[in-house]
Amino acid sequence: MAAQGEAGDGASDAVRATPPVPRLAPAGRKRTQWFALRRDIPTRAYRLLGLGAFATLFALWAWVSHRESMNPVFVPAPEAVWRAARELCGDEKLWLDVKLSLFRVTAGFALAGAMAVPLGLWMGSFKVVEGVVQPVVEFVRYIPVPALIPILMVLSGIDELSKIALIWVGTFFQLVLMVADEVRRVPHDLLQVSYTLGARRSEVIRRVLWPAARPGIFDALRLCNGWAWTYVIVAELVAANEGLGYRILKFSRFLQTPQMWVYVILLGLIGLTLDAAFRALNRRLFRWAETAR
Amino acid sequence: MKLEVRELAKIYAGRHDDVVALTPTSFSVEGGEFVSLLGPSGCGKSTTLSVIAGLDDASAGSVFLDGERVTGPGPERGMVFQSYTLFPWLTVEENARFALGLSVNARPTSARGVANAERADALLELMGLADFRRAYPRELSGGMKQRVAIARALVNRPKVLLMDEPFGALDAQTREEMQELMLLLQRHERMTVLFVTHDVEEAIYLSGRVLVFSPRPGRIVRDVAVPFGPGPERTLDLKLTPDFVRLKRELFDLLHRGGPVGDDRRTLLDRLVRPVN
Repeated sequence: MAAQGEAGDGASDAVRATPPVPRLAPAGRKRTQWFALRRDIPTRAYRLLGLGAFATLFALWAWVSHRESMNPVFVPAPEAVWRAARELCGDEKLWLDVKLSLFRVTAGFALAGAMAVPLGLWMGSFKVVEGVVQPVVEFVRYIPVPALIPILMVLSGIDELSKIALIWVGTFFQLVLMVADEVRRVPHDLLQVSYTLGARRSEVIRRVLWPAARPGIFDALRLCNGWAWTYVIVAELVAANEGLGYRILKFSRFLQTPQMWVYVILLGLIGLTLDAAFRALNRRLFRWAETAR
Repeated sequence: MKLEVRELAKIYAGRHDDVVALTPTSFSVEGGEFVSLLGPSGCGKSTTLSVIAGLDDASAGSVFLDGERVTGPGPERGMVFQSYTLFPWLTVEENARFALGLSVNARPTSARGVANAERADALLELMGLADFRRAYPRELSGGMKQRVAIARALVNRPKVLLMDEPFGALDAQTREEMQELMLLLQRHERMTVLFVTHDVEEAIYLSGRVLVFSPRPGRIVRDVAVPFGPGPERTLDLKLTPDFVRLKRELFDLLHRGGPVGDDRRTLLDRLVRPVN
């Protein structure tokens, strides 16, 4: 041991006479490895890739639609869609459709969230609740939602309620399981340590399980919001007098393909916006989380 | 303060056979003592600690704290885990004050109304974390996380602090710093500590007494009084003294009785690198 100590002193002498640091290229200048497994690539390049993908899709579309052999009823040209879009923007029907669909989604989704989050929290906390709820939820979850439409119509008519009910059925059962999963994923040691700090069972749920699971639950809500948009269109395709889904069906009856495309692209844009909003809010609310979701 | 473990045993129901993790074991700890439970993994030392904490049920036997039987977890038995158990959504300061918001500390009449914000702040200061009050756990190093965890447990003024290999996940240098901190804390707080470790040197360096466990089925094979006083004589140099090294060797042999230590290096190597036929 003593010999090691002396060796250590010798080393520190060497450290004092530090040779000049060789000039090195900054790390950022290093050549990017584009296909290294899971390795990050520059943010700008990442964004450009996404834009490039959209541009390629667009170019492909423009090319296909302008071919002689292509019937414009099948694939409308971009300029036709653009013209239709400008026309529709002036039409208040479009905004009414957006508003109505948005309302239906939000109502169904909010209802599902308000019920699924507490129930999921209970399920993830107590095996007894899980034992009762899980089999039922799994059963309903595997019934394709469109198969339930006739039943829902009988139960709740063909007005707003039936559409909201459909969205609720489509999202609630998924969400319950996802919330319960997030609660179960909270490390057991966090529970144990709060008990040894004097926390009671109710305090562990309120002050540990719930806050720990929040980022995951929020992410589950984001996913469910996407599904809610699927179900609102399904509901509107079946029975409605306005709404984005209904309008697409109506355009299709009159072979107004450019208008259909406008609505479909609009749906994609709404989805993209909502998703980005959820992600941004998640990052803002849960800065403490270890990994960016 | 007196912690008594009486005939504690733990048997797990296995697929074929019951696994005896701990054969009936008894020991007691007096106030102000620093006692280590030393043993190889699977010897039941962590199980013993869990049962004392009230987080695990014993198959037989019982634990008494000041004559009262332990039936569940409570703030008078604080615990520090090997895994990092800070609440990631709370800042360092909020973590340290976690116990303050609990109902056990809310009743002003309760005997436990000892935790307060000043104490939490003072402990953070003592731990060298004053500049990190507003930081979130993900911004901290492993050693800092464990320091916050210790402060958080001590805010309650526990009668005994249970530590389950608290420095097991830390690198050697940080581990040494944490050991110094433990000695400092013990002098400062006069606390009673029950410390689980498989590191012989750590056990001797920190403790007044070391309880050596045998491999599974676990039992205490020796109750060793460490002949070094508490206080200032415990410096890193102590680890180099002949007495320390001799004791270390003795405990090491106890732990590895019947193990490969008896073999010479040649036979061990032969066994490891046996040619494939």
